[in-house]
Amino acid sequence: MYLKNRLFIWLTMFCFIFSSISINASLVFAEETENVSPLRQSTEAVEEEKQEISESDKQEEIKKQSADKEKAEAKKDKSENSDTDKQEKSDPVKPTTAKTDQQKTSDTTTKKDESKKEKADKDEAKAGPRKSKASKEEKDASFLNNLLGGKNTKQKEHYDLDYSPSTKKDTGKTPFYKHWIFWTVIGAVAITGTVLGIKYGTDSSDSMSFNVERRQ
Amino acid sequence: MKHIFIFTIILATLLVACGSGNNYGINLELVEPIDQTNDPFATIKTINFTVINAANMEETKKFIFESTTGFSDFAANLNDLEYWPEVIIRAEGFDPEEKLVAMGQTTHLSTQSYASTTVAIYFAPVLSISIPPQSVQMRHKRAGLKMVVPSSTNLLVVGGIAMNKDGSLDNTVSEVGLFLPQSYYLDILQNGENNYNSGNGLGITAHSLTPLSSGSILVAGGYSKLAEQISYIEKPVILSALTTSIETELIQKDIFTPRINHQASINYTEEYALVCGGRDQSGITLNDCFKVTEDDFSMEKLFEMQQARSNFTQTNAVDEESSEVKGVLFYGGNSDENKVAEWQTAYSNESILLGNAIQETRTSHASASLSKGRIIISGGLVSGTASDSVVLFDSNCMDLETCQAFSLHQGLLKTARYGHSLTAISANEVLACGGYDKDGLSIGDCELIKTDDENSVTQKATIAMNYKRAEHDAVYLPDGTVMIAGGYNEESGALDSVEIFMPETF
Repeated sequence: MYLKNRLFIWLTMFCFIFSSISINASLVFAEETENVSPLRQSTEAVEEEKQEISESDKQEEIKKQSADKEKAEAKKDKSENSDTDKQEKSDPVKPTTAKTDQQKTSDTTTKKDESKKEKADKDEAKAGPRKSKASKEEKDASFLNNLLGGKNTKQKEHYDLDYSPSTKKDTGKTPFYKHWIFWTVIGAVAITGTVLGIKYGTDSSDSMSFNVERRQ
Repeated sequence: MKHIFIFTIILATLLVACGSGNNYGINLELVEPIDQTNDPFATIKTINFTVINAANMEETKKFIFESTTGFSDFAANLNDLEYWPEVIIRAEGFDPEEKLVAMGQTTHLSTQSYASTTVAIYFAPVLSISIPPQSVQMRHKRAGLKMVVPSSTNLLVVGGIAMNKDGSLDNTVSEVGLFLPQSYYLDILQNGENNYNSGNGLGITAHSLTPLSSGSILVAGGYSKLAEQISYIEKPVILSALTTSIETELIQKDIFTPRINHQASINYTEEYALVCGGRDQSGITLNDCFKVTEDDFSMEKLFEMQQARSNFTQTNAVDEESSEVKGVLFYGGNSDENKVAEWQTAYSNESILLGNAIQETRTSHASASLSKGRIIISGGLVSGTASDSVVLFDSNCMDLETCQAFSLHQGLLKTARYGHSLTAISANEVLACGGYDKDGLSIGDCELIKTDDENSVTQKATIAMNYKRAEHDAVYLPDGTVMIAGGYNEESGALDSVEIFMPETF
């Protein structure tokens, strides 16, 4: 094979190598797009599952702790009940209003506490989890759990802020250079370059001939 | 699976690309002279064909064909040659003593463009002037015609005037001929919507033709004659030759004085044509020079020559290294022997008289541009008498004291002549053909004049033409030959014949 000039040789080599790379890249990203998209969706599910599992574990733990506390408080209550009964019996109306006031105060303080906690939680989420804080949170969580008598929604929010991958990667945008179409187009251009380079760079393909006669 | 599929497609495409070769076949015809005294096949024993890579003249392929019985039914095939995009094919005939006796070559051929076509090679004895086949004869007899080669593919023959044997003038010719060296046919082009000579359709003579780099031609000045009516051509015309017709466009400017016996040249470096001097309808000799720009064909007066001139020469001096026009030499054509020559530097808007010029009055002479910024001037009427002298002008010596810008070579021509043609055929050679001798009779030969790097000038050969002729025109063709056409002689009046000069070497 006779190569016409070096320019075509370099063009051909470059295009061929580049086309190989780009085709490979397009295939890789094509596979990734096919598998990774459902993978990402399933990752979210897995993450949520993990989160739920960790939440349920924590709730169980909190329940345990609260049960222990209840037991301890029950013991305390037994000893204190006698004094309280005495007070109730002496002033039957006052304690009711006082209790109502106390409930109101405790409601407002609870709201304030909640907003404070939210703020604190957000700050914590920014600052990152700490062990000491975590134990405090656990205490708070158990307190709230007791208070609300059920699921700690704040705690879930806290975990969402810290660990949920869905909140961060829900944009759904893939970089253009990781898209298989991009590399397929580049591959096609490079293949065209290779073909043209070989076609015009070699002249084994083209030939010329001359037939000579006298004009009569 | 996907990988295999895609790479199979790539491989298949590459194989198809490599395998799909083209064979470009060109048919060549050896066109020989019709005059049997110049039969190129009469004495040759071998014909060599050389295929030259026009992009790299060093690359050649040679094929030798030998015959003991002659070449009357010669046919040869040069097959499956390495592809070159542009080629020249040369044929050389050698006699039994292996002396080169005949040759011919094509113009530059684009292998792809000329594939499956027939291309002519005019094959004739070396250093001869021969008559090509009837296909190259003009339709009208004419003197005072002008020929120009605007590109490597065609030649235009414009105008002229019919003359009687006694030298009296007949009507002007409006015919435009198109000659294609590749096919060796001369056809007559039909006029487009406009006639080239301001719409009167009466023909033209004493005009100038300037090839522009766009392929168009500037036709300036001249006159037309029908019976006793003579009219000067008022507006210059841009002429474009198509395959079968011509298109014309008038330059709508009133600043141009109608004129005859003027001169024009092309400054291809700055892309404008320069039309100078001549004589107006009142017989007044002119000194103005007009510039016609190639871009928009606009016309403006560029400068005035130091001396009004008619029947003078206007020739470009070309720089050897840059191939740019250094300047223009205006020589002779006036009655003041102290103002024989002037020079316009390429980028200036004025001309200067050249000091130390040869003091003479020379008219009806001819000039040609040589290599290395030199110009040669031959013959003419010096002080009213036909001259056999040659003047060599070297533009490199204009500012030097070590050499003379002008050198006069008396008695160089075998025959003193005026009204002749002078054509450069190589960097150092010119061909002076025909003209009138001292007695005012037409001449039937050409003289080959050679110069060297030391500016010495010699007369190398005298080659007989088949016809005496004066007031004809001659041009260098892209195949390396010279076409001599038309003119006048006392035996026939105006001529319609064409002759081809074959040089000794290409």
